[in-house]
Amino acid sequence: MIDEAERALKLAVRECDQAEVFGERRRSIVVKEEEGRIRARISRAQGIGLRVVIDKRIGFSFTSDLLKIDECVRLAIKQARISERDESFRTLPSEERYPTVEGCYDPKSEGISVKEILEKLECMRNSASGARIVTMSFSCVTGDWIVINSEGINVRDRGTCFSASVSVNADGVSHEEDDASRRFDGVRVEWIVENACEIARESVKQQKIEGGKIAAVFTPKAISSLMSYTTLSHLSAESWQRGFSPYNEGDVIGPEFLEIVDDGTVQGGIGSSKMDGEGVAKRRTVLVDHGILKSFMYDSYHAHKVGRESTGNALRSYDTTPRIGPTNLIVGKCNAKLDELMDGRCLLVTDVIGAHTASRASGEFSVVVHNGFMLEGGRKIPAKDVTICGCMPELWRKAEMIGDDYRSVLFIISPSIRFSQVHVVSS
Amino acid sequence: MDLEACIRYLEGKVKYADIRVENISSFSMVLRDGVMSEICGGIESGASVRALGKCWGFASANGFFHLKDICDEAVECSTVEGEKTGVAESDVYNEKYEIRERRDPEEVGVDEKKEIVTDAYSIVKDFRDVKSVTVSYSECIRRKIYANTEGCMIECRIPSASFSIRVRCRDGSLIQEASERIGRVGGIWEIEERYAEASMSAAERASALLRARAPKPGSYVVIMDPKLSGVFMHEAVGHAMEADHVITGQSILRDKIGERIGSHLLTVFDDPTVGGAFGFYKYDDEGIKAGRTNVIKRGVLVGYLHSRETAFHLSSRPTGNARAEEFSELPIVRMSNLVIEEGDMEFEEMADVSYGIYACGMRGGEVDTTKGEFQFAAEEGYVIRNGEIQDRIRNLALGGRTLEVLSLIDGVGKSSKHSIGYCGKDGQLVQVSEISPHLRVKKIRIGGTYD
Repeated sequence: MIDEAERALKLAVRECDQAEVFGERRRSIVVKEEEGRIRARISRAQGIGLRVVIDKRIGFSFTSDLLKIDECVRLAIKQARISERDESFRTLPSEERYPTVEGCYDPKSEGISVKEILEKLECMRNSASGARIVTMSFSCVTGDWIVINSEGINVRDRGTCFSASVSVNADGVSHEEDDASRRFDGVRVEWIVENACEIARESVKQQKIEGGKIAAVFTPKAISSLMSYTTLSHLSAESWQRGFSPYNEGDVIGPEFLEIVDDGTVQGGIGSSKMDGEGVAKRRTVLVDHGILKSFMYDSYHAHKVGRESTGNALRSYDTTPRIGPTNLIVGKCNAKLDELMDGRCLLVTDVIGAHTASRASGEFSVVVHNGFMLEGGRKIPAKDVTICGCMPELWRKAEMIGDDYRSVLFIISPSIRFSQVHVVSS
Repeated sequence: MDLEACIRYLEGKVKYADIRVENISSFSMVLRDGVMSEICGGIESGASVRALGKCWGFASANGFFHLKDICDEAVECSTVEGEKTGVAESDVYNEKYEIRERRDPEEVGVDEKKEIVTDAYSIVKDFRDVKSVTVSYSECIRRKIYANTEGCMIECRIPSASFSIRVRCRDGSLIQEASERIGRVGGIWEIEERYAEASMSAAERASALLRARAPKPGSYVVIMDPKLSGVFMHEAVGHAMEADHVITGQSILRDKIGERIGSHLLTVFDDPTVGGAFGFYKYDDEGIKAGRTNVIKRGVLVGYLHSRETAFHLSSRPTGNARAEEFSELPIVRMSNLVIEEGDMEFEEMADVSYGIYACGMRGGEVDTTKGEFQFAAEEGYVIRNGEIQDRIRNLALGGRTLEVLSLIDGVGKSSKHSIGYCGKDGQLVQVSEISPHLRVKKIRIGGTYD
């Protein structure tokens, strides 16, 4: 793949002002068990994506057939020629120094077998209690990436990602859990089954609760679900520059203890690596400090528009152009223990249904609480038919406490957070 | 080793196997606030082998590969001990077909497609309150070959194209958005005929939503417009009738065939062969001939959607609903084009209520199929008072329990509209559509932040 990537760049720069090649190779093994029936799969994929610039016109093409590099180059150039000049385009990024990011590659992935994965599923099976495992799976993905461009960037990286997921059923109540790690033995396979079973068991015999404006504790999973479709967009430089982020730098977006940091160099972080999709070094960027918005997430295009440097937040795969996204988004700072968050009357929101229907522009949401609980007077009552509504920017301003139970869910690392005065609608 | 030789090779190794080879040519352009920020195109090609030995084994590769190596990997994966499974019997088909309508994407020049995108932007950019506009055009030409060890061989060419526009309006700190999407399997003529009107409609709605208020939460009579009715049926019922959910006990519709599950006014079916529909295909990804599958008939559950494996376990017949996003994914049970049969109620009659909500447009939805608990969001709505459509409302999401809400449908409208989308399940996205009239529900829960 390296040879093909270099050849593509060499061919492209003959006719273009600038060019960039992103190459990717992935191998995955997944074993899924559904009520005892096994599906084992091995997938291999590789490809290159080529971005070219001719007189500020940008074209992109990709191919998975590395014998057809010439055709891929011709297509990218053709597409640039029919595009239009983008006066805001400055330059592709240039050579960088790269951080050493530990814990992103587990050599265990090189010889991994279906048999070893089955042992993980066996652990999961043995961890079930009080609920039936309906489906469970374990996957192992190994990736190699290369980014080279006409401005001197030439960087490679490799990584592994292991994940497990489970869906359980206790007397007609289902609950799902998952976990991921950069290490084979870092995935908490027993914990996800125990947690899913506990929540499913405790959610049997749900009862109607009284709605109104009440305090609510969102678990890391619920935080990740809602943030993914609202706050992530609001913290993107593209949203700000195009006028549909509610924020400007310097705005107070939450209480004084609120901090949001994007850090692509976290040891073993799911979103960690040396470089982003444009070959820019990943780094730690403080987005929100003491409740104040300090910075947006940038790729090179949007950074150069305002005279800044990229924050290393260009995400992509070989068949897409780079778009702004998080690496590891860490929400803090902890100011209370988890049991303090649960004090007094409040709704425990374990997860939500319908987060993707939130408005990315306004941040307004109205979602069903999935297996939530009303906490009141020492009791934990499984809540039936509950909807919570609001607007994410307003909700951040109502954050009361940030707990200490940090958990990584997708690209968001967050503890549970308690909010005041959440609109709760009950049937 | 070529395809036919690989099939013969697999016949000697496993109980059943199939091979899918695909070439996917895609092209898209995105205009963001007047800047043509992406003109992209490329080719993805590859193959996969699915083998049934002691379990299902699956292997795939893209680019340059040796098909026999993939066969060997799939066979190796199929040697794991597990619970018995199988595939229901089916007819064997041999067909080569292609979908080719007027204005086929491969026959229309890039300049004409670019003109659609730039013209759509120029129509809306100066509309009142408009802050940001994203217009996109994308097309995908799939060339697929399917073969299995039972002698089935299907070869096809399926083009699809879609247009979307998202308009964001802003008034001070308040931001609202509205979107439209047009697409079909076939030519781009429908996009060409409708994009102008759709773009203006998105701009008008986004601007009007700035002056809309949040709904008062509670349970109300709700009329759903065709777009929203379609999403409601997709989320509330559609996923629960996918037989893989039924088999694992994750469907509220398990063991209910022959039972009344909703209003007698309701008849619903799934049909991949609706001409030009966004979820169109003639054969599914197991080589089963696609056709209409009745699921609800006058309120009674009459069927599920099946793959060959789910049909085997439920002693039923495959319905041609096994679909994979592309060759590198396993086919699983999916909807295609979900149709709610039209009724005979005029809209004026439906709206003749003392107080209710008219909910329009859709922003998607989600469901817990085990409990039958669903949520779906409308783009906008209106308060109805004494038969009159009045105040506009925004951030309107509806939630509830499937079996309760289906039984509360007391009005089905006369004329249907077609809406398109993408459905996500197990990490796979497939093209789907809903064809639905207005529906009225006597009572459904609405979330809102109105004080």
